[in-house]
Amino acid sequence: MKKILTACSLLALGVSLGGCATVQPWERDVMARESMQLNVNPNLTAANEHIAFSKEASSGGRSFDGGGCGCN
Amino acid sequence: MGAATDMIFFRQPGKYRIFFLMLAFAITAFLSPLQSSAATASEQPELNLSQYEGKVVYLDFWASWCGPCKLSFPFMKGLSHQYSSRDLVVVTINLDRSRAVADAFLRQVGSNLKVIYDSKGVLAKDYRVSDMPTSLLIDRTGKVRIIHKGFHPEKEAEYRAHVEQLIHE
Amino acid sequence: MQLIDSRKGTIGATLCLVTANLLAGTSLLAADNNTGTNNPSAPDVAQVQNAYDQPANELGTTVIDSAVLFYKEDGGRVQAIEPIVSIVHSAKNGNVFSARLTYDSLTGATPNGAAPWRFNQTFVTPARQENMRGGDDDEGGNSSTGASGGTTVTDPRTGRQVLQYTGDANQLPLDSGFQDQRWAVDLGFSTPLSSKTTLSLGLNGSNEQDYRSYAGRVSIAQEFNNKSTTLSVGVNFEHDISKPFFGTPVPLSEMSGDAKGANQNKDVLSIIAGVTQVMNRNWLLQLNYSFGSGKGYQTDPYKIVSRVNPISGRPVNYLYESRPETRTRHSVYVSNKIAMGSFVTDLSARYYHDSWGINSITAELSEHIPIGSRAYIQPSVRYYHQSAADFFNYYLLAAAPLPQFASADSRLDSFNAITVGLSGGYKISDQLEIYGLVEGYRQSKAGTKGVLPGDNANLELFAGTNAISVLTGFKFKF
Repeated sequence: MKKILTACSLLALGVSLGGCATVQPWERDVMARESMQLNVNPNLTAANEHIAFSKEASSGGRSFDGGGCGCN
Repeated sequence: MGAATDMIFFRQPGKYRIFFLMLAFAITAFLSPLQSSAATASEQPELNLSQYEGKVVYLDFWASWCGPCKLSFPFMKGLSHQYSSRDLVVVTINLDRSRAVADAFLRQVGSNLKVIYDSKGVLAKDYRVSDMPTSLLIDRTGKVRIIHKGFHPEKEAEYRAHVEQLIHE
Repeated sequence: MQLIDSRKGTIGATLCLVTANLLAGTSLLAADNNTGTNNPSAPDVAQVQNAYDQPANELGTTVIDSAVLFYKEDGGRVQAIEPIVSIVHSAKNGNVFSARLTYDSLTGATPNGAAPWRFNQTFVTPARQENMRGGDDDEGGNSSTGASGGTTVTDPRTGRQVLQYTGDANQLPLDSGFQDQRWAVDLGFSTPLSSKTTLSLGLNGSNEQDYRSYAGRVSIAQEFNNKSTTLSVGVNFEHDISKPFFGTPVPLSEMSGDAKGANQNKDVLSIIAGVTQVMNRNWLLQLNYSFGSGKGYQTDPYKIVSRVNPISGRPVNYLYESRPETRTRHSVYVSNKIAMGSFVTDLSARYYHDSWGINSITAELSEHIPIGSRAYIQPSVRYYHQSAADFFNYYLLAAAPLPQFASADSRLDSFNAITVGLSGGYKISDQLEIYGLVEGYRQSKAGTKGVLPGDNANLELFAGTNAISVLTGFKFKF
């Protein structure tokens, strides 16, 4: 089980890196958009996480660094 | 969700599952988005720095979606007013994909600085732009002397000092 | 029918779903990226004019974001109103300050952990008193937590005031008159240490009548590959104090109105490491691994477990639940945001495993759909599956020896949950935006149904619930 899981995770990662293209700093127009940020609506995300946390045993996992326009 | 994937994936014996995933990897790699096609001769943006020889050139790469770029325009406008056009020329190079969006931005910041449209990033690649915005200070002999990566309002005095330095050489 | 363990099948299926999505997303984007135009003034395919295509908050802006959540579970269970107000200031030098205040008011009933029975059941718990040990003294009329809506009597054996309440026949026994108020504050600060490094710090505190929590966090993010790759590492430390209004019961002791023990603490240390990669112009991928280790009191002091007759299923007595003092958890989270024109697809999955034997899979999909030039709607769906904790039990058999740990809390049961939601936003002006969300949550038992011994197949032991949430809010930017 663990072996399948590791293999699958690594290959999923490999698959995704296979989709990598070099993105130049001036090609970040789409990444700069509000709709493409990792946490567009922080209060809404917080409310949803609170609702899930109150009924489920799992918690956490997310973080919000990265993406965006990459300016400065 | 489980049933279909089960059929494709889990009915295979163990070693073939790895093969299936590698096949997926190979297909993805093959279909990887290709770089945008290079610009044709008719749309090469023109930047002829030799026409500014004898003057200091403030060459700025910007785009409408770049927040710090918005802050840099008042500064650049200030520079072009402060120094006579015999000493300093501010040349801005726009990297938006769409000219309409770039022009709307220029109207918003009230700029009439010179603009070169480089929607495919040809000049940006030539000058190895690695940050948005990037400004290159070119001295009177045409040599790139100082590069400002990004625009930080708290460093405006420093930027101005760099311009002064090159003008008074 | 399936020779493969269904849990493995679900995990594998989800990861392959994610893989398939990445594959599909990439090939779609291969098509999009090659749509060039030779006319520089033609509007770009990807730049349809919608307000949410504009850049995210610029430097030198402050945003006040105020929302209120209304939450209601089925069957007279928990209801809550939760206003949330936050303020975020992005300074011109790149520093970001944020503060969020949350207030939570809960009422309604919650299952006390006992199994249902064919006849009414009576439960006894200490009555709330002014000078009771444990918990806070009343501060300006804060409402009580725990059972009320029963009758207060004096226990002849101890002379103490106790509260007796009833669980209705053939129903899951509910602790009704449940009330709680909670305040939470979160402060955050992030600063660029260099053009490629960002440091973030945060503090969090929450307080309710019978529970207090403090946490601090620090994280650092480093950019590579012309800022296409961001590596980040963060640490969070949390200290919680459990102060049940009647004190802390001895685990697995019999439920009673007797005096209980002192307050208890727990500490949780979590680490999160992640990589965010700009895969191509339209696709952002994030992969996080997080680890958490909790030590200390992790039991719910109000919850009980029924001990039942192994032949008839009749409840013999009720014991306070008991959970281990340590809990280690791991999770792997992958998230994609893929733009297609002004549409954005958000697909994410999380796998979670902890030392209590709980494994879970979460998969979420949402689509940001622009409407006109100033609005969007976003339908979303979330699938969640968790396995039960090792020590989860709907009841204990009176004849069997007591286990070390036991809990009947539905949060630790094995279940599936589907959430279907619709959110949306509208920018009234460049400065003011309103937004909202409506969401339905539905839990259903996963795996073998629990059943009492004896002729009690009609008694439903699963205590999961359905709920509706409605949230409305506005953001004001200046």
